[in-house]
Amino acid sequence: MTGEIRHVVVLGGGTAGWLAANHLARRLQSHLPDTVQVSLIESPDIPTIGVGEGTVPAIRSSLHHLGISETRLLREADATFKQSIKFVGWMKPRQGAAHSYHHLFDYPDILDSDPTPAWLQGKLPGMHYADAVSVQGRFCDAGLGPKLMTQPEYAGISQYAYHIDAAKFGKLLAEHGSNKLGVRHIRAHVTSVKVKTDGGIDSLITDCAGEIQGDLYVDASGFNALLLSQTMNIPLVDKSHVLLADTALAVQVPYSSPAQPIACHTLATAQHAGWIWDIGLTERRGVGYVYSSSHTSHEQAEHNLRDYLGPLANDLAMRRIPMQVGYRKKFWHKNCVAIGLSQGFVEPLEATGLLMFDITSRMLADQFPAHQAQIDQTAGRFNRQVSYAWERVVDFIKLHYCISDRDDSEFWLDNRHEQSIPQSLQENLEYWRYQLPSHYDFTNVSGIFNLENYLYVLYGMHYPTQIADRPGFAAPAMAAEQKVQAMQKRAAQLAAQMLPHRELINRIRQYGLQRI
Amino acid sequence: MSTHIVPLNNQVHSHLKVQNKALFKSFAEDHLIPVLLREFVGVAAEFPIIFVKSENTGQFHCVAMMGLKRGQNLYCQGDSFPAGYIPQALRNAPFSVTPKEEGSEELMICIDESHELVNAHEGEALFDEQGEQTEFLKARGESVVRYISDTQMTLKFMQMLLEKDLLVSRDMKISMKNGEEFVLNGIYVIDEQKVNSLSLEDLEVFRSRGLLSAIYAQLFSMQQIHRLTRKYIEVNGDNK
Ligand SMILES: Cc1cc2nc3c(=O)[nH]c(=O)nc-3n(C[C@H](O)[C@H](O)[C@H](O)COP(=O)(O)OP(=O)(O)OC[C@H]3O[C@@H](n4cnc5c(N)ncnc54)[C@H](O)[C@@H]3O)c2cc1C
Repeated sequence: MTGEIRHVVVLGGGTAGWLAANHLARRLQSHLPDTVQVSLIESPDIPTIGVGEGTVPAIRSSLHHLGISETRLLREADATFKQSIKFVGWMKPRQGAAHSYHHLFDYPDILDSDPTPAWLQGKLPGMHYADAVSVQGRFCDAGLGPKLMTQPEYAGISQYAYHIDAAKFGKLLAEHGSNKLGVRHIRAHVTSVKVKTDGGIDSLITDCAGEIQGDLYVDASGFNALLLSQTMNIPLVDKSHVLLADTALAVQVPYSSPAQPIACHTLATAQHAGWIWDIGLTERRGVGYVYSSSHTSHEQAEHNLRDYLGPLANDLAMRRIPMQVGYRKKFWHKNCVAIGLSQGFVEPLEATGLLMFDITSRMLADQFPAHQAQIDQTAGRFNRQVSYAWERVVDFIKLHYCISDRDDSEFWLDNRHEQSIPQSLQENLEYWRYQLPSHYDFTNVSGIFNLENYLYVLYGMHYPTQIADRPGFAAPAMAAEQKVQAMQKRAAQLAAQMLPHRELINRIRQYGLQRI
Repeated sequence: MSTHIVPLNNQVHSHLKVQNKALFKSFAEDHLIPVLLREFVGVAAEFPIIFVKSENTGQFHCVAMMGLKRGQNLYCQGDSFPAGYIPQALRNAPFSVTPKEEGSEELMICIDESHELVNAHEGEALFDEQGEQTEFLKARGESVVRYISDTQMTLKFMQMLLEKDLLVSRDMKISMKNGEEFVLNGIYVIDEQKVNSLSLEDLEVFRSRGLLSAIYAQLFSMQQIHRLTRKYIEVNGDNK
């Protein structure tokens, strides 16, 4: 039958390309004969972007689904556990101390009785919001790993994601995709693209693997977006007026000793013109300054980053990466779907990169059109869902900046300009001045940051929601206090069984985790 | 109880004697006792055999359940062992083995000098006047060395069960007649359904290595939970 989709060609062998190829091959059972074939073309001349070390918990279900063992991830991708992002200095110092808060991965415990109203009314004085609604912040502060040796792969005491070495993770995905899932790996540089009369992609001409023809193409070629942008001219929806940071300066920092404790969260420390990520892997840290080049010079940025690192960084080389902030007007055009930096990018504050590319890969695999005739409709839906997801990601990242009270530089002041804040976010913030955020505010399943995430950030940053003691909405201090006390007790019981993060990693690398 | 485990030496230990029996009371607080593969059938006639993970390493071990709660071995409270089969793990002490050097395959026999069964005047001598090992020590030495290789065999069996995906987690809730309830977590057992759906090829692997009896012994052994609850009431009395 003509019009069948028999061959998908993925252009690009970065993490996005490999995630897409893995998801497609897994879903389409490409390792079996007479199924849809998945090929991945990767240029030996163009390196992958080489950053992207933070993930969110959804990655666990994806890796599990793909059949990748967690033990392997820890052994081969130098992975460590991540339970939170700890934001430091995103507000002015309070009582002389730097401000900090956790955006935890455990959902806040607000279902049976919600301590939030009592906390907002100051009835839990001196307590971080995260600690009022979860035990997990205590584990992070104590440097404990999120699971026990007796727990099977991908299960834990608390929710977690990973910090990974991007290059090694890519290699692991490539190996798994090629050897287990049946992805055909082609190492060749695409020199030109043949276009069909209807504007779709006809074939890719390579330097050493001939002409490669597919029925559907995945553009995972990185920021350049060789197919969707350079060939099909789908424009970028630029968001640099909302999210001001446009450059990253990245560096790999060795540990001072192999036994040095590893933080079990990402550290995100605010600076005058951006923020610094600090991620602990097993063998080294990955650190980078994300900044707005219109608010600081590259020299100054490097100076700030070296200051942050101290003498440790004296001889380390730093790599500057320009960032293109925004997403494509369309992600799926004709027979080409963009996944990866080609699709869109916002600063890595909440590790949205891999998350978006993982989700959209799976979306593509799950909704894979059986026939050419279905492509238009599937593409239309895909574009609506993915646009919505990107808009919400931009809202959520912007939230971190626009409710800050920092006023020590133009960068922070500019971030609060009304024109820079998306309308949808403004409306929510207005609403949340007198209403607690609730599930009713997050009804669209395509949104990837929901109530839980907003609560941690809003109240980690002391957003002044004013709630009155109305009948039915009262916030009894007693109930909240009891709940917090019970939580404290539970945290202590659990902590007694948990291992320091590095010790946990060492043991898993030595003994492996069980699958059951 | 403090232990002082040292390699056996015919000079240092020339006058040492060891009582030839098992000191059950030293296991009074261990409700799970390791079981060797070759013991499965014998143990299954008395105790539930289950698989548990080590807290430190997450690795699986085969053990006999001799109690319903942590800290109490219902069978090791007195001087004699009130059941028909005594697992080897209860009979090794005061002897043990360690590798001669780290990573080396050669083993040497050690003794726990502070063990209750060890003294200067009562029991079997370890060395004769010429400083040669006595028949007693030879036999016990062989037995602990064999225990180590049998443990390796048992772990291999364990590994096969895991590879063929035959284990399931089975938390147990036991309600006693007197109203007491026990919730036992972290227990893994062989899943009969999974055994029944093994491919002929896989089944043949287990059969040809003589492992089918161990699989069925484990399945059968779970019936001994009832015996264990009776024992629990016998030891602890009928009221809470
Ligand atoms: C500073 C920074 C920090 C980041 N931090 C995070 C983070 O913490 N968490 C997170 O989830 N994400 C993060 N990201 C995003 C993350 O790096 C990317 O999502 C991820 O690496 C995917 O990139 P990619 O595969 O789309 O592109 P690339 O890695 O750029 O891969 C592009 C691929 O296309 C191939 N290619 C290009 N042109 C051709 C051609 N003509 N012929 C053949 N092959 C070609 C290349 O060889 C390469 O294999 C960060 C990004 C940046 C810039």
